[in-house]
Amino acid sequence: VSNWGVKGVFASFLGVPVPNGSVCTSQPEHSQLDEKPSLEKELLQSAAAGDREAFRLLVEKHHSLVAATVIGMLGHGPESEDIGQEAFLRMHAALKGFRGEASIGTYLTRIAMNLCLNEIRRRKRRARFDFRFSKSEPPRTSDGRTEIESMSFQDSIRRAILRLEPEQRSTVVLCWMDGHTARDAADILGIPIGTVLSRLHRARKNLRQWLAPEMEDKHHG
Amino acid sequence: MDEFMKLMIRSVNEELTPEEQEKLEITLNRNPDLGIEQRELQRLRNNIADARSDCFNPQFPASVIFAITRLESKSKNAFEELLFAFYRVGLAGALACLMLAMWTQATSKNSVSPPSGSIEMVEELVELSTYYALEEVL
Repeated sequence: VSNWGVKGVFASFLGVPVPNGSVCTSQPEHSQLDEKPSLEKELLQSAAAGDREAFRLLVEKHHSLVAATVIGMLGHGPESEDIGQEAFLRMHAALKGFRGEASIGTYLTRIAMNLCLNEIRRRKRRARFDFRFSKSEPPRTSDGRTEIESMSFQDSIRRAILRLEPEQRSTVVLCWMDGHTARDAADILGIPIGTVLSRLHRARKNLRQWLAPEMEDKHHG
Repeated sequence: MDEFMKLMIRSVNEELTPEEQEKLEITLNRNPDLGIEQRELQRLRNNIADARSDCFNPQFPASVIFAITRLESKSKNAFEELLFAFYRVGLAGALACLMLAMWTQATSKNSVSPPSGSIEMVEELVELSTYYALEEVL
């Protein structure tokens, strides 16, 4: 199969470029690409040989997975997009050495997660020296409420996830947000599966405590 | 964390083996409070999955390709510049060596009385080419 043939098949499977320009999905994707590892392999080989179009198709396919991981870990913001881009740049640099032992999605998630954890460490170091950080008032909306008071339920959940310790957050994002199994999460994070489960257990306790009023409202409302 | 809790946490996210599923159900049937806890956990997990946001800028894929192109052209340019600098340094160095050889030749042949002005001229040329070579390096 020629490169263009592979790309054509991919483009039709994936429906890229997206007609209305949107690159968002609300749930994890399970496209036919997942069932066609050989096609993905060919696309990878073409990309490794310098084919930009092949790499662009790979980015089209996997960017929402990377976005979910990065936004789940760091929240929305320009830095999140920079980190998403960095994850793909690193993958591109490593294309020739990619042996395909892990799926490309897992590989990218691992890179993105490591970059996020580094960014969180960097932010912590920076915050230690920034006095204004601890003294600042919570931002208020036009009707005088704090940002937290005016948040939607989903915002509250995202906010609560961002309050978790990075170790707990990473497991919550991978398992409960991105839908990885505990074993996959353990592989991505390079920790034993038991550690993943105990982190999820602790994260659940924290989230239940922080989100109790919202969860009650939602359950009864 | 006990074995039951591990199974319960895994059950909200993945399919358990028939044996594991059976073990979980037996425990849940024995203790209704644990059933409530499991449903609560499932609700929390579903709410988290619903809060998933995977939207980057619509131009994200294009911006990645642009960044790759820019990086590659940057490294290519840097290599070409380096090559060009070495080429000029090499040329200036070769000229300096030639001048030095000429000067040595001139002084050895005319050990008694070298032709007036020739040594100064060669010295000047050596200095000049050394200067240009150094300038390229620095």
